Formats: sequence, structure tokens, C-alpha cells
Amino acid sequence: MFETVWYALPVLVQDMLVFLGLLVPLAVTGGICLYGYRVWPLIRGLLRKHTAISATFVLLIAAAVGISVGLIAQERGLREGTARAADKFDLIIAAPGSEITAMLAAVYLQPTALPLIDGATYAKIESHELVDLAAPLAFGDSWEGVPVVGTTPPFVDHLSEGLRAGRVFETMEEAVAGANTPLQVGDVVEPVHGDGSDDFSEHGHAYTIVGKMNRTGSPWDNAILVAVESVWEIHAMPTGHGPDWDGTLGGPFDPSQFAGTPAVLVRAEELWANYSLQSEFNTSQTMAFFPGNVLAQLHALMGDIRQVMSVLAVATQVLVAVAVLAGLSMLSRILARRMALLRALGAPRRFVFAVTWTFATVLICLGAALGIVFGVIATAVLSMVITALTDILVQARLAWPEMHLVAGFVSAVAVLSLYPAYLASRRSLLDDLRS
Amino acid sequence: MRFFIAALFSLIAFAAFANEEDHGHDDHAGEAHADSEHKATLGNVTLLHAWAAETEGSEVFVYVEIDNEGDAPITLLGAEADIAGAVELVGFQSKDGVASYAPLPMLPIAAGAEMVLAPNAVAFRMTDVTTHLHEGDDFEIHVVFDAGEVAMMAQVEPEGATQHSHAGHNH
Amino acid sequence: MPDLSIENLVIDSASGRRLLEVPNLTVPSGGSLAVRGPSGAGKSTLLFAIAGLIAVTAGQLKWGETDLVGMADTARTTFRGATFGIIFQDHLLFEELSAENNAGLAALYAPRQRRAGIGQVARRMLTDLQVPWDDPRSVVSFSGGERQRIAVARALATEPPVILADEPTASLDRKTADGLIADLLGGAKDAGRTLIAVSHDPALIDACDRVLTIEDGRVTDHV
Repeated sequence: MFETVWYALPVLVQDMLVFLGLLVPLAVTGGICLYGYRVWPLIRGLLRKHTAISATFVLLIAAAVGISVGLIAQERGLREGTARAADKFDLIIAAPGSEITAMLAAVYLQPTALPLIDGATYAKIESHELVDLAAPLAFGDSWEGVPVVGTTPPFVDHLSEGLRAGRVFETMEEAVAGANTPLQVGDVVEPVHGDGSDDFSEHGHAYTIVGKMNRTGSPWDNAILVAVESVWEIHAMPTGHGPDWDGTLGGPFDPSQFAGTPAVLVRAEELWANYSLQSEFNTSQTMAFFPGNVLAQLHALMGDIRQVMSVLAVATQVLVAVAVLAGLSMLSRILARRMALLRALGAPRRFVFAVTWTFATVLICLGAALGIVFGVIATAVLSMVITALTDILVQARLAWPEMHLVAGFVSAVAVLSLYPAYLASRRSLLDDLRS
Repeated sequence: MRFFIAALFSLIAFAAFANEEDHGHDDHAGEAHADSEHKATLGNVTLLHAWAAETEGSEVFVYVEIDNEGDAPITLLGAEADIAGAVELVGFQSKDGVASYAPLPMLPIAAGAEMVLAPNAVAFRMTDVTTHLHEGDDFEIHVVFDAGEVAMMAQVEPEGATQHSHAGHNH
Repeated sequence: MPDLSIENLVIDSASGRRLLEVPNLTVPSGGSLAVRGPSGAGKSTLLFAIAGLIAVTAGQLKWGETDLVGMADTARTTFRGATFGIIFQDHLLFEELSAENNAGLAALYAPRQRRAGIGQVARRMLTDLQVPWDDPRSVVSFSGGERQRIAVARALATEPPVILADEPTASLDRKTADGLIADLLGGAKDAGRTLIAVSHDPALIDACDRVLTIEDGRVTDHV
């Protein structure tokens, strides 16, 4: 019964209910502690009196909360970022092998040696009735560390959805630059073989940049795209076209003149067609996979890692909280004279307990709130750094899971704070009063 | 900073490998079961290892391996199950970094091709499932093709399973 | 209103040193008693014992039928809150609170129905003692005399049947001190309130019904 109702609720409502549910221990503890008392004037006074110490505690808690929620949000952001970077890569067909290796090469442009798909196979893919776009992706060269990828003009349109500047390459001497490259229309680049680090062999072939792509949020933002024919040619291979070729770039290619490509991007308009193609091209000659699918499987496997991370995040927070509580126990010594005075004037033990507990809990709540702000800032900074390092656009934002974590943390520590409050209410009255 | 991505993915790949080991073939020598429990045929089409993962929700995904050994393509249209209010054929997709399942009107399977319905790929999505499925349970599912319909038993695997416990066995 | 009766009271320090011996002392309800003697003689110890703030080693200390010696801590706290208004020698105010909040402190933990009353009396007392009750500043910025008067207002705000005061006039000028003495003793007369005050102030000592002199932990004179 409960399940049915629960699963029928909108996700937002579920999230909010979980959030509130996690705060229940705080509310219950607070309700019991504070029942019948007015502690706020004293709490405000204590915060004013012990501003420096209070601020230190708040900052400590905020740092712990900030780091934890920042990390968790970052992990999700990274996951979404890597998936988003693969959005344009509906279906990749490569020679049989490791899907992950092929994905790293085709989607994330990691330098890898892949076996090649031959002309006959490529022709079969290109001419399949369900295929709307097939493009070879030929890797291997680079210019000043920027990968140079050979492909076809329609792939550039598909990837960039229109250009930011200029036009798509039309000859073997033209190239299109990714959004994050330092290149502008009119620049000339001369690629080298490999990544240019070990085997410094120039091809003696120069490209003129004729267009610049829009930002894609993927490593392709830091790449140079050229005609696949030119890549074949500078490697002294057939250009993919017969002797009567008019020079128009791209397919259809002549299977007998096709030098081979490590990967083919395939796109069908309909999702079902993509899956149908995947099934059809998963053969002994080819391997077909969806990068988004592979990533989802990896992310599912990483779910365990994520849980470990969440546990670690909570553990970190609890450790800091324990340190803070130890601090609060010391603070209760600082508060001792005031608490003794309250007791001398006739305030019940429970009132002293309530004041100490509330003071601790206010610091924790303030710390948690500030921690969320820290988390937002940390997330933004980390996202920027990771995006800069990997060219994968990471947009991490705090979301409900982090809010749940913070709520659980606040509740847990609020309950733990009962202990220093207990200690404070058990101190010897007269010793404290006379000290 | 390609090294960063490479390192990240190597780690993931390792995790994937380790996981593969975990979910590898449990030794179940001596376990006798009739082929019919795991296998069904429709003409030249073989369906193997229908399964679902245990869940507390009313939405259950069912997976199966479909092998078209015939000379003609066949089109998968969907499925039906008595335990579910509705069943639809869905495909996993990732848009703007967010994963979801979208209904597929049909799924042609080329001659000689194998279509593996699996998590994060194609699946039958059963909704309004009234029976709580426990590990070890099985339930009947009717798989519908353009060429006809075939009934088979689907087995319930533990929560979070990624494949049928007998996957890889040739029956 | 309870009478105070003490018999063979002995108080030792934690280390076993004798701090105070009082063979016999009675203060009738509505009466006033001044306790005098040199510094460190045990006057404050007696006051704390009477308030139930210090453990009694031997003897009897009763307020009416209530025996403070054998009482459980919680009950003693409740009794203290209901019976005494205590004025400490060094004021012991909450520095970070305003005059009004200090004087009305008991309202923070008193039962709900008494809160408003405590607040009202606290404000009236502050006004009577010429402390601006609506000054929002914390009492840190107040003069010594003002702080002393706030402490007095706090002791009176709960309208207790007994006032226990440790040098209540010490930091006041003569005129204010005389006013305070009149208030404390006038209250004692009008409301039947008992006053027990430790003091060096001849004016206060003279105004009390009875005077107890303590020297070196012993009662040397009782008139």
C-alpha cells in the first residue's frame, strides 16, 4: 500500500519528503529539549560573546560539508559531462575489440591504435537503408598536441550543428578547428604524425583553417577536423575514390580505394533504427556500440564506488562533527560559569542542557548552511578545472542527494550533541560558580 | 591532460573487469533444468534467458537474448505479461547527459543478427506490476514479433543483477 | 512563608578544612538578618548554604518543613527557583544580554503562565531602581552601580519570599544604596519577604532586625 502511494508521487515530492524525513530526528530532539523553554535570548548572547570560537566551529563544519557535497555533486557532474560529450555519438562501429578502447578513441580522442574497418564493410554500413549518416573517423596525427581527425563534411555539421565562423572544409588542404583551439579562420597548420612527442615526423602537408566549430562540451572542442581523404593521402594511401573522382569530399567511397578507418560514426534518426543497426553490425567483422550505453554500464558499475564515496563523505563529516563536539565539550567549560549561574538562580538542569544543546545545534546548522554555499563554490571551481583539463564540459550542480546528505548529517550531529549537553548539565555547580 | 581521462577510464575498465568476474559463471554443475525453462523458439528465431531483476517498484524491466538464425529479417514489436498492467518495448538513450528510456515502436532484427535486450540498452518495460518479484521467482512473458508470438518463462535475478545467471551457457 | 532554622550546621571544604560552624540560627518569615564579619570569615559560605548551593557536612538546615540537607538536587533547584532571589557579590550578570533580559532571566525557563508576570516585575524593578529597561545594549556597557541594580532587579523579578544578598550595596553610591536598603527592607515589611544579607555597610546592618557576626568560621556575636 505504502509502496504504491510512494512510487506514485512525483520525484520532487519524494525528494522533499526524504529531505524532511532526514530532518525528523533534529526536530524531535529539538522539540523534546526545548519544550517549555525560551533559549534564544541566551543563544544570541552566547553567539555574540563567543563570536570567534563560534565562527571557527561553523567554518570547520562548513568546510567538511562543503567538501563532501562538492565531491558528490562533482562525481555526478563528471558522469553527466562524460555522457553529454558522447551525445553526438549515437552508434560507433569499429573492428572487434574493446568497446571502451574504441569509445576512448572515437568519443574522447584518446590516442590509441585500433584495427581498421575495410572498404567493403564500410560500404555495407554506408549503404544500409536505416543509416542517415555514416562518417569515418581517422585518428593519428596532431598539431601542437591538438589531434587532427580525418572525417567527412556531414560529420562536422552533425557535431557542431552549424559553424561559429567560416565554412566546412571543401578541399584536402582545408580544415575546421574546434572551439577551444587557439586557431582562427585563415591560420595555417602543419600536422605531424602521432602526438608529435616521440617521432617528430612532419608530413609536409599544410592545412588552412576555413571554419571554426561551435562548442560541443567534448574533447572535440580541442581538435582539428580535416577531410579523411587528405589523411589517407599524406600517409601515402589511396584516397577512397576512383580515378574519375571529381574532388568532392566525403562518401560514397570506392571500396577498392578505401584505406580503412579505425571507427565509423553511424547515425539513424530513429532510436529503434539505431538499436537495429547495432544488432546487425555486431558481427565477427565489426563491433557496434552506443557510447552512451557503454558509459551507462560503467556508471552503473561505478555506483558501488559512488556509494563508497558517499559513505566516505558522511564519515568525513561525522569525524569533523566529533571533533566539533569535542570542541563543544571544551566550550561547555567556557560556558560553565554561566550555566552554573543559571542553576544557582533556580534554572532546572534540563534548561542548561537545552541551552548547551541548542548552542551546539545552531553552530552545526549554520555550518551546514554555509557548507552548502561552500559546496556550490567548490563545485563551480572544480568543474572549471576539470573542464579545462579534459575538454569535457562538466556542469556540476548541487541537487537533492547532497541536500539529503546534509540533512542526515545535521540530524546525526544534533543527536550526538546531546552528549556535550549532558556533560554541561552535570558539572559541579559551586566550583563553576566560584571559578 | 588526456592522461587524466585515460586514468579515469582505465580505473573504470578495471572495475568493469572485476565486476565481470563477480558476475561470471557460477558453478552450478549438476543443476538440471529443462531447456524449455530458458529457451523458446519461433521459427528460426531463438529466445534465450529471459530475466528481470528483483525490485520493490511496480516498474520491472525484462531482458532476453533474441537470435535470428533465419534468412529473413524479423521485427520485434513488444511483449505481454499477465503480471503487468502494460508492457512496452523501450530503448536506452542519453540526452544532454541524462539517461532515459524511450519507447520503441518496433525493432527490426536482421537475418543472422542477434539482439540482446539488456540493462542500459533495449528492454521490455512492464508497468503496474502487482506481484512483488523475488529472486528465484519466474513469470510468463509473451514476446510479440511481426511473424507471431512466443511464450516463455522469465527468471527473477537478484536486485541489481546485470545479466541472467546462466548467461553464456549454450542450451 | 517559611522560617529558616539552622542547628549545629557544619561545613567543611572538600579537603576537610572546617569552613563554618553555626550552632543555632533562626530567621522568622518576614524578618531580616545582616551577616557581618571580616573577609574570608565564612559569610558567603553561610549564604550559599542557606541557598542550598553548597553541600552541608553535618547539622540541620530547614526552610519551614523543607530540609535542604537531605534534598535531591532537582528538588533543591526547583525549591531555590521558587523561594530565593539571590544577589551575588560580583553581580554575575549575563554580559551579552540586555538589562531587561538579565532582570527577566527567569522568564526563559519559568512555566509559560509565569513568564509575562516575571517580565513585568523585572521592568518595574528596573524602573524603580532607575535603570533604563528599554536600553537594548548588552549590560557590558553599564556602570558598576547599574549592574548591581540589574542584579537586584533580577533577584526581585520572580517575587520570591526570600532575598539572599551578598554585599548588595557594595558598588553603589550612598544615595542609591540607601534607596536600595529601603526597597529591600520595605519589601520585607510590606510583602512579608525575608531578607538575609551579607554586608559591611553599616546602614544596611543597622536597618536589619538582627545581626550575626562571623569570624574565622564561627559565630561570635548574635544580636
